[in-house]
Amino acid sequence: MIKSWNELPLLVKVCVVLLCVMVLAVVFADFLTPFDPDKTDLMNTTLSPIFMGGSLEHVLGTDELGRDVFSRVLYGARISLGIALFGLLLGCSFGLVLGLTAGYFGGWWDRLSLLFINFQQSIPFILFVLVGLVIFGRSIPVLIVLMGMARWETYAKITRGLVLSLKKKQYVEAAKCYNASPLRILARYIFPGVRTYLIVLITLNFPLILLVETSLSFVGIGVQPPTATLGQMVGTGKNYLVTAPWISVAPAIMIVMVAYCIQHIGEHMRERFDVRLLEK
Amino acid sequence: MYMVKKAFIAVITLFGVLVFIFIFARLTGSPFEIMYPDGMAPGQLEQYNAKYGLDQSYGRQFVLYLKNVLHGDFGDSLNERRPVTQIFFSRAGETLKLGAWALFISVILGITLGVLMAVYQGNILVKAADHAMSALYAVPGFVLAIFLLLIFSYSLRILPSQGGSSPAHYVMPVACLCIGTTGAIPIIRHVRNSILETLSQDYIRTAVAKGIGKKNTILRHAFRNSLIPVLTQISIVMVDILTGSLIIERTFSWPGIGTTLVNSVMNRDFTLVQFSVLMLAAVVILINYLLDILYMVVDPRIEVEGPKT
Repeated sequence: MIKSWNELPLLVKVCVVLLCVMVLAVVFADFLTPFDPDKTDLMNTTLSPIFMGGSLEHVLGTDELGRDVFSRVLYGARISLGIALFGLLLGCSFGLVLGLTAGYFGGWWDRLSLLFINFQQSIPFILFVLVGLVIFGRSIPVLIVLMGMARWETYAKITRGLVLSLKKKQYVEAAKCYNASPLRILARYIFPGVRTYLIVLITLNFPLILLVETSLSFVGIGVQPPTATLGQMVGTGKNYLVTAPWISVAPAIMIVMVAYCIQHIGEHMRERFDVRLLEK
Repeated sequence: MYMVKKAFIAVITLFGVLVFIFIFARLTGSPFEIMYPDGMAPGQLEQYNAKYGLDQSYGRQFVLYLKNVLHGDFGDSLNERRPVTQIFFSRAGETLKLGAWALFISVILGITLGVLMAVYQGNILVKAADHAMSALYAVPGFVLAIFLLLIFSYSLRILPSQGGSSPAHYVMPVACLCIGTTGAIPIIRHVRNSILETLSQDYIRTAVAKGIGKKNTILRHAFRNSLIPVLTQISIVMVDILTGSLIIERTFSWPGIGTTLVNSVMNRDFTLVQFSVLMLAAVVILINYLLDILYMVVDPRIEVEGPKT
């Protein structure tokens, strides 16, 4: 499935390496920075980052409350990426189960699922997210569930389409003949045919969900302070753009780098596996 | 027949949104508990519930809700204490103006650059532009806004950072909606790809063979035949600009629906959010319906077979 590392285009290699470095830094943030991301230090507010004449102690400077920007970027990315990742998995599982069962069993369940899929396709999910945020309040679990509603229909649609053609294959018929249960058929014989598509789709959807989550936090209706997230750091830093631009520029660059790397890898995978179904 | 069927689907979809909001809202119990999170005097909750029919069965409540909606009664904003319809429509114009400019520029830019990139395919500049586009595609509107603010408002001091009264106020919000994930880039990609795809068709070879030149072939034959997928993409961009402006408006304190909606989510002003979301959903549904009609105008075969995209 994966060709050798050397054959990858240079830009994809760079993206993979960068992404690995960033993910490792986010996961092992505790060992990389001595500072607590939420600890304020009013004696040392808005210190410049190192490349703007700052000290080595605070590599990316400090924010308006003296908190270390570098550690806040890492811890903030942990929350942002976590929400996006869990939301992604939630949406993917929902779409996958719906697509598998709708395609395999057909009948009224299939028609109902199609209705749901078309409904979700015609209404931008951010509208539902806004309603959800008002009703359930703004907390991390709520955000994860709401992000799970993002683009589940893409998984459901593709899975359903693939199942419709896969279930006519001879090996599936054979499995039915020896009385395999639907669960076994779906899991052992049909799912492997869907897997590649799902992986590509997840990779392509990840940056989209990340951007939605960061946008919400940016305008202040995502995760609430004091918990740092990337979007919210950009948002609060916006008030200090004149005196301390690094407060919002540092997390902004982090968002763009993560989104670009994943997106580029996803696009490469789409070409590589020739998944034409996934053309947007 | 085709149009009636599509209209029916549009109405059903809007009804679906209504049902969804109703179920969502009732999941957490009484809306008054949300309105007054600190609690109320004993007996007051029951009193309110009875007044608004919340003590009745869910079926009855839904009928009551539908009846109010059909009468255009969406209630008062919980914060501003005046009808939500009034608030919404007084601000819709600003959002519309912003969105219209963003769409206009995106489409013009998208089609011109898309055609140019198809014509000069393989050129080093086009390749560079391609990389720049995929990089920009990962930049969300608000990040773009931060950088534009830094450059044009705070360093060069030539553009205003907040509000929306003069033409200069439009520049940055429109730019954010046109350049980032929403806007021109998806249109450019689609125009180019679908022209390149049409170029491999037989009738294009015939056109080239009769000697009208590559550029003429692209403009007269390839571009026209690639209109349908491009139309679809433009409608998607329209919806993206609409939802994107929710975030962008707030960034530039644009006095439109986006700012209002974000503020009311913050204040948990349920009635206002409910109405705005309903209206935005209706606009999106309308855009899709108009698109279906446009398909038919562009390609009359569709009425019989349905679009091929």
